[in-house]
Amino acid sequence: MNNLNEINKNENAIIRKLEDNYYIFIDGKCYKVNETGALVYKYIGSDMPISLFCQKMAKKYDSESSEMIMKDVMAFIEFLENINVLSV
Amino acid sequence: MEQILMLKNMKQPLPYMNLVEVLNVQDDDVVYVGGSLVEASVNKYSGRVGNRLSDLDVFILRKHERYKETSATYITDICRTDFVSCFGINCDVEVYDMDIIKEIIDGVNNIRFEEKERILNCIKMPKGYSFEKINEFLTRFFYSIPIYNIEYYNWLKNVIDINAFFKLKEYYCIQVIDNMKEDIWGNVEVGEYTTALMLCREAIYRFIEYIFSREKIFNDRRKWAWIKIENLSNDKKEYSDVYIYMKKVLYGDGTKLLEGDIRKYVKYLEDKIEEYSIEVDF
Repeated sequence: MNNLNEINKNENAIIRKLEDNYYIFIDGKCYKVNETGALVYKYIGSDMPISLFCQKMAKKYDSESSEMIMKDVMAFIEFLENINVLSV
Repeated sequence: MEQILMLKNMKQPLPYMNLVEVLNVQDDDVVYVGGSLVEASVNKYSGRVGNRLSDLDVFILRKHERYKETSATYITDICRTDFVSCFGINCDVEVYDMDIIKEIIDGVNNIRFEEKERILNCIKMPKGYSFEKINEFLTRFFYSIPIYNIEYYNWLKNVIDINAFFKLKEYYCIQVIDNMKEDIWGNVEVGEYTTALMLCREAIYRFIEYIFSREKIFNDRRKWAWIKIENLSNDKKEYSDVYIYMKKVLYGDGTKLLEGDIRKYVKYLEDKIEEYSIEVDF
């Protein structure tokens, strides 16, 4: 998997914001995610190489290691897949 | 200098003091005029709201003791309503209890969002009031022209935390749309496409209200939402596709309504809510 457009969001999943927190709703369950999680969710399905996405994340959050970010992003995508929010 | 009220679509000018006399105003009453005629003149997105047949709405905020003694044609938990004519202009007069108005202000200023709380439980409302009624009161208060005790009127206006109110309204509108989606899909499932379309129209109205809240625009009448979103989309191009979408849902693409149309309408709303909700970006 190289590009975020290779991932499909489940049409039944929705994301909502309350104050500074984001909540993903799926199959009657609710998952609280932080801002970076919401950013990943936002870009899923869009035409952007995952490596570029991680570089942008690294720049936004002043992180020196986009490899580390890549690891976290992939783990988060796997989590979202496991809870049926998306399919790869 | 004599102050005179003259608005577009008003039959003739109305001197403030004549109105004050007709209303039998008390020294410590706060008096202002509002409603569609006034709104069109004080809010830049309300052009074309109101017409020559619209009445002038007059509001009086009165101290509790005097409020209790106020006679009126209609008396409800919320206000006392009467009708007067001044210089040939028909006025609907609503008198409110100042103590209750202060309760509304306290409720708005103490809105606290809690994760596990229903959205409307985040605001404390006075007895007899619904969220819609508070919205109506604030709309008419903020889109109004003060006539009497102007300083106190301005003080009241400044003390209300409208940002908290609009944030609550944003969340509430989204919650209503989310609840409606179930109903839409239930009707689609059994082939009730016309009912589903009616629900989509209700949902788009709520979505427009959500956009108004983002833009800090008050609205308390469904009938004026369409004019205001048109005016807003002319001013802010980012909303022009919302206006086009709204027209599509209202007028339809043809005479035959298909399941795909409903799905398209709901998907659009969902995508837009997501776009506006996730404010974080690179």
